[in-house]
Amino acid sequence: MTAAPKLMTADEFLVWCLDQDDKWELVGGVPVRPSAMTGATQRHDQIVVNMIVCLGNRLRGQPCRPTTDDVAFKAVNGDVLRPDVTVECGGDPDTSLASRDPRVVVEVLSPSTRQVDLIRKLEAYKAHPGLRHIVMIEPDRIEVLIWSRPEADTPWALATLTDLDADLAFDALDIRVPLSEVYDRIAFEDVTT
Amino acid sequence: MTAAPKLMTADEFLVWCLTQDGRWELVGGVPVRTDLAVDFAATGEPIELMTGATRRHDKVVVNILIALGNRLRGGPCQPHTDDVAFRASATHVRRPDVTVDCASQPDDRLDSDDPRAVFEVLSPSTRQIDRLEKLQIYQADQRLRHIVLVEPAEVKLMVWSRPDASADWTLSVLTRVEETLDLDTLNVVVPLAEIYDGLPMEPEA
Repeated sequence: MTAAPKLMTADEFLVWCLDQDDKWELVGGVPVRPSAMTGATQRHDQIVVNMIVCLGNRLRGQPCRPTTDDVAFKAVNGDVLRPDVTVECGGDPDTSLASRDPRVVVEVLSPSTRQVDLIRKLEAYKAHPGLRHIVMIEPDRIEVLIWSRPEADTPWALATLTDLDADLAFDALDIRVPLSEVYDRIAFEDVTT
Repeated sequence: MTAAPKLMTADEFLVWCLTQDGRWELVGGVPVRTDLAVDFAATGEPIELMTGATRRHDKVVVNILIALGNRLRGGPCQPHTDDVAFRASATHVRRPDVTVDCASQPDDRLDSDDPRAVFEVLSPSTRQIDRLEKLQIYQADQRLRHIVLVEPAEVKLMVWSRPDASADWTLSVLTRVEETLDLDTLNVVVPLAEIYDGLPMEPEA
């Protein structure tokens, strides 16, 4: 047994990360290495790139922008997570390591992260007062879950989308993204496209 | 001193990564954490290069992904983030910030199939190793046609290109935002204004 480690704050963690690795997350003051942060399949990454491109195109010239998982997300409970895509609205890009004023987070699910993403991360995202949309994307079939709320004190409403013609409605950003763009270039075993 | 570690192959490394961490690279058969600039040739220990990214660094990466994604849409090539690995040899695996892969369809592989172009957005802690060590690895790869190093704090791109694997690499340096990045083997031309979109530049000192 080793001595219990001292718990880290989010700020201490982000500085510590600089000397350790960029794919750690902080949970309850303890750095954890989520296996899903360990590289990604081409398929997973294609969906991430699709989201960055379609969000970036629609948000161009506006104050909000997408980031990759290299930019950290500070949860209100002190945890530090790395959503696959974050839309932040916090002004010019600077040298900080975490997003400023995050409005939307997107996670592309994978077998190794599904449980932790859906339960632990969802709760952390829901508790963030600045977030208006939380998106979870299934890479192996057409299924997107989006939790939305118009204000910080309204309840989250869940919509489940399973049709390529359906739109992801990001009301807080005043944009819509069709699922056909989310799944662009993705082939499904049991679906002919 | 610990015993010399067994060298890993690229395949072993990519599987090992799944249970370890996403930000490792394989250098000469040895896993290296890409997070803190250290002279690893001297120590032989796994070295850490650099970690996470600043919002500014990431904005440049996102701009490149968007510019390439829009222009390559519908074709056989597409950009990937650094979560998709670049297998340079049996004992070298790198994670370029952006890779253009010309495989037909995204699949369950953890590395690119047919990488044609790689982008590295420089940062103070990785600048030396990116420029020297990675550049050598990329230049030795038969598949690559374009290698692009991007300075995030000033308008400066260093672009190595060659028309085919047997041709010499030619370097061009772009320093004006009015210039364009010409990836001719991909039939893609990107204005530097798009790469630096939304990035205020410090006035010249």
